[in-house]
Amino acid sequence: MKSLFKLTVIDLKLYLRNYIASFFTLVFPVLMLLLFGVIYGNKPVAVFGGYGSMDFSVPGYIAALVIGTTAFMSLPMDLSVQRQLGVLRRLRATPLGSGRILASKLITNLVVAAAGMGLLVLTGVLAFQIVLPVNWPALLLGILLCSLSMYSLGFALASLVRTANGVRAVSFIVFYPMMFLSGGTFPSQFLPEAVNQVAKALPMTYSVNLLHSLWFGQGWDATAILALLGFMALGVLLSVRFFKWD
Amino acid sequence: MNERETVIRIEHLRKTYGAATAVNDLSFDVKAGEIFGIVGPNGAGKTTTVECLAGLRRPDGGSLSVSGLDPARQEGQLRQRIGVQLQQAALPEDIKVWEALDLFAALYTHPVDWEDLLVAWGLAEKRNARFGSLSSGQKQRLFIALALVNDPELVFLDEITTGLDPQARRNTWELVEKLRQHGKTVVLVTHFMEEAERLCDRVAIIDHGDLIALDTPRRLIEGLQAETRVIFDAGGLADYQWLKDVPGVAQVERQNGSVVVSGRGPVLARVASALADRGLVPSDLRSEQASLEDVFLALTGKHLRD
Repeated sequence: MKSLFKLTVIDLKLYLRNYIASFFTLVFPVLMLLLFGVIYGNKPVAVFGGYGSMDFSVPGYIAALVIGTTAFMSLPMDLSVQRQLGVLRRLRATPLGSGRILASKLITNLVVAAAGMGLLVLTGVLAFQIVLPVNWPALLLGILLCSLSMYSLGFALASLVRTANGVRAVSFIVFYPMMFLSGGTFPSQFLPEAVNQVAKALPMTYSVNLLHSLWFGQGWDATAILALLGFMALGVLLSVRFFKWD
Repeated sequence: MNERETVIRIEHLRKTYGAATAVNDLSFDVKAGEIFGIVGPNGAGKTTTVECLAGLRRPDGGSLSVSGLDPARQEGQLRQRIGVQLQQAALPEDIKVWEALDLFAALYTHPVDWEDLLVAWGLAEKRNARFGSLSSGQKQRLFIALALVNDPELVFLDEITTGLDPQARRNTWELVEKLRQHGKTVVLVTHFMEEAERLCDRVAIIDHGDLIALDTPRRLIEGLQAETRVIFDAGGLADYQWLKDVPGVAQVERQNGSVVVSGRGPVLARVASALADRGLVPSDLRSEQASLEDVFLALTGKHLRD
């Protein structure tokens, strides 16, 4: 346990020393919120069922920009860069073991994501007086489910693509369309129906849907849960089959 | 005769990567307290062998015993006891030197005080430096220090002086010799012959996954029964064929402005004496002896730096 703790602390320090990754997960979502909040404000509107733009944005940004960036950008990048450099190989020559090495990456990203979510919610409350979820435990459970599901896809990405440059390219191709089409940044109410149909094939869409539904007291979205579990299984299977340490 | 304990036993090791055979049918022992060299060209199977011994790769055939343990089945226990400095290993660019040592020390049940290692390996000044900012010599020293945090009885060092300048190289050699003084067994992989000659008690020469020779560097070289060459700048000297009459000399020729005398026995002493008798005292008189590189060439018909 002590060794996992030490490794995780180091991984966290290294994450924060990587200014680009930290910016995307911690600062960028807050900036987006402030920018659009200034433009659109947070008055209740009918299209969001009586909630304001910012009320609607915060859970969306959590799914798309915080969970999304950690799952599809920082986690796979970190794994593939360290693999290519030989860091993973060096760690495997120690008593740590494969499980702890990967667990540390998972925990590090969860912790950073939690911080990112905290900053978003804080900004939303202080700047726009956003509505907070009634059922916190359910929401946190939902966030955990979304995270684990998206993270296993991130692991799968690092397993299927061999080089760090390849992972960087593929993660952009995977993340950016999802960011725009999943409904997490541009609400699906404002996207053409054809786009929303396409979005049904995207994992991030289900994170967005689940978090919206939990945040606004609409209960558990069964379709979303099934989809998330399915994606998690897919991610785990692909990772177990294809992940290489060097 | 005092039989030293066997620390590593390799029997018929075989490792393939798909269709390619990296290690063919390798068998040898490593004794306690020796610095054992594994030398050969790139792609010979040296790193693969060490990785199998350290439990990082599964062999496809043969049996291995390292410190009495099976690296494939008992890697957990083995990792506590050995130190490894791998060839293409690295650390994250942003980790600080002390953080790396602190982390690694925490992974073992009986670590040494890493502050001592920091000082012993000349890294005290770089305590807070990020790994990415270190010179290659400093990086190598840090890797060796990391391989020693658990005070291992057996250390694997793979190409530890590649990319170092001559001074850094010599410093590293002195530190490796100190390891033997502390009773550790060292397995040293290198393609750098001078290093093997200087450091190793015994050397295994490997090529294309096969063991070609195994002995002390001295006996391997003596086994060549090679000639010694004595060389000096010809200057204006036109008449030098009389040197052929010196006992032991086989051939005298001119190469690139130098006179090269080849022969057996104490050639240098005899040639110097013969020259001095004629009032000739060249200031750059020197001899060249066969090296492990010559041994390799004789055994395989290839140069090491292929």
